[in-house]
Amino acid sequence: MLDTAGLIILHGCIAALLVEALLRIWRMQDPGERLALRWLALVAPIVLPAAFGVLAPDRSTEWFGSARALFAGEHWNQLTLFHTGTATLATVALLILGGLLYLRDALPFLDDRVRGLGERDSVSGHSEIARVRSLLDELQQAVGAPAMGVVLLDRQTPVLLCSGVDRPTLVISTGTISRLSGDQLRAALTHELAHAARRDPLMGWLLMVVRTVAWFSPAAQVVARQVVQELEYRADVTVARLGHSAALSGAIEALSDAFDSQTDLVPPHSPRGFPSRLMARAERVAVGNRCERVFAQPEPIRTGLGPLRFGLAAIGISAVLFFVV
Amino acid sequence: MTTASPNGVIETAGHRPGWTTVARAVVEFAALLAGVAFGLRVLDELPGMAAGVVRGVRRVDSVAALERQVSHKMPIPAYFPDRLMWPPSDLRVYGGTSASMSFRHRQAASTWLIVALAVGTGSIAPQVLPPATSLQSEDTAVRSLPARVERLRDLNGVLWYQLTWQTSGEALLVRYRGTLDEVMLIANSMDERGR
Repeated sequence: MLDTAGLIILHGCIAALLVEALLRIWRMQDPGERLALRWLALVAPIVLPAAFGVLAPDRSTEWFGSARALFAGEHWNQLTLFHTGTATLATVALLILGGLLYLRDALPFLDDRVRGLGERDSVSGHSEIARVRSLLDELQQAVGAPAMGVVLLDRQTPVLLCSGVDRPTLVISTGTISRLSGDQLRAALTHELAHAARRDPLMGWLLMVVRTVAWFSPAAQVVARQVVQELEYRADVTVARLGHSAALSGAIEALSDAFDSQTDLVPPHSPRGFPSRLMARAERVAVGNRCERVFAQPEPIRTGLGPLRFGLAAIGISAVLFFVV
Repeated sequence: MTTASPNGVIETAGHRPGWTTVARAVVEFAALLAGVAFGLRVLDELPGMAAGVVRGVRRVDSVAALERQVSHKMPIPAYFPDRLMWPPSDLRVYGGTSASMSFRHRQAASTWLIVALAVGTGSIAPQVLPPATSLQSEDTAVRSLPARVERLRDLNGVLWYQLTWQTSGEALLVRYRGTLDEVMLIANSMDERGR
């Protein structure tokens, strides 16, 4: 069991690094193409070991590890620490890290979705609801999004999310509305409509399923976060296309001041504890990079190489992982 | 003519990537893959280098552990010269199919006897044996089975006798630093324990 977990962790790390390198050397801009490669890095390490086990049973023999493999984790067990192989120790350490990363995101996600973020302190009949609804109606056609329900929360914490797999719903708080100017609110709502148009809430659930299956793999947890960033980038590109990129930048800046914001535009501050601070910093860097990409190249150029690149990446990842046991 | 798709990506009507663009993408991809493969191979070499063995060879602590690795009983010579130390000083396995046991001399404290076995592969993987050059080779017999006797010189210039032969499904080897008569005695006295 530990061996299988170790292999999935190892494959996950290699696939994530390969995809990251490919995105950089190919300078990929198209959010759809970027998203496809991120999904590949997420799913391949989970699916391929089982497929290899069926198609090439000899691959699991010790002979393959010694004579054919590029890398065999078992070789690292020759070096021992506290009478335990280093590969086993590394697997256990990474498994704990993966579990912590999973819980850090899964618990708030499930808390929000299962208990119903919008049902706790939602208000009806608030004067801002009509304003938000009219803005949504105005923007809906330009974005190509389905009709969205609105849940307004009466709280100062900035909340701005698109939820609902079947019926997309905008969850917004009075704190968000009060922080944003008219243009910024328009840009933020366009961003959420873009999520609804691409059925991103469903993608969020699929991501959580994959993360749950690979809860022990830190690489899977990190790549899943990167997938989320790509979804956000795709929504940002839609905002930029409609000419709201400057307003979106202002909205991000306005919302990033709050310590406990619950928006997909900007991650919340996590001021307590070194790991949380480190992760919050990494998330903010990712948001910064995302915005930089949108403003540097508001309309990414599609090169026509998407299918070729995806095919090459799929073949390359499969080939490398086949020889890693 | 350029158009913007629903997700804001610029698409050029009728645009197809040129062959140089495609070739460049493929070359960049191939270079990355080669770099990753090389890096993984180097990483895989490190534990062997640290443990002082060839890549893919694993050292184990006991004869029982060695037998578990190859799923086969190791042959132990019934004729075991007094000057050799028991238990084996070095036990190596490669690929789960080849295994070797090295025995030290009581006084010289260097290896004098190596017994190796390969199961299901026809020949013993050279990785479980110290490198040596063959000087002379002749056919002979061990327990009425066709065998080959060789005179070898190792990297330190020391001369060895080596006998190799095959039984059903397994290859056997005895490498000894003594006389030819002794290595024949050792080989002829070898049998799997428990048979």
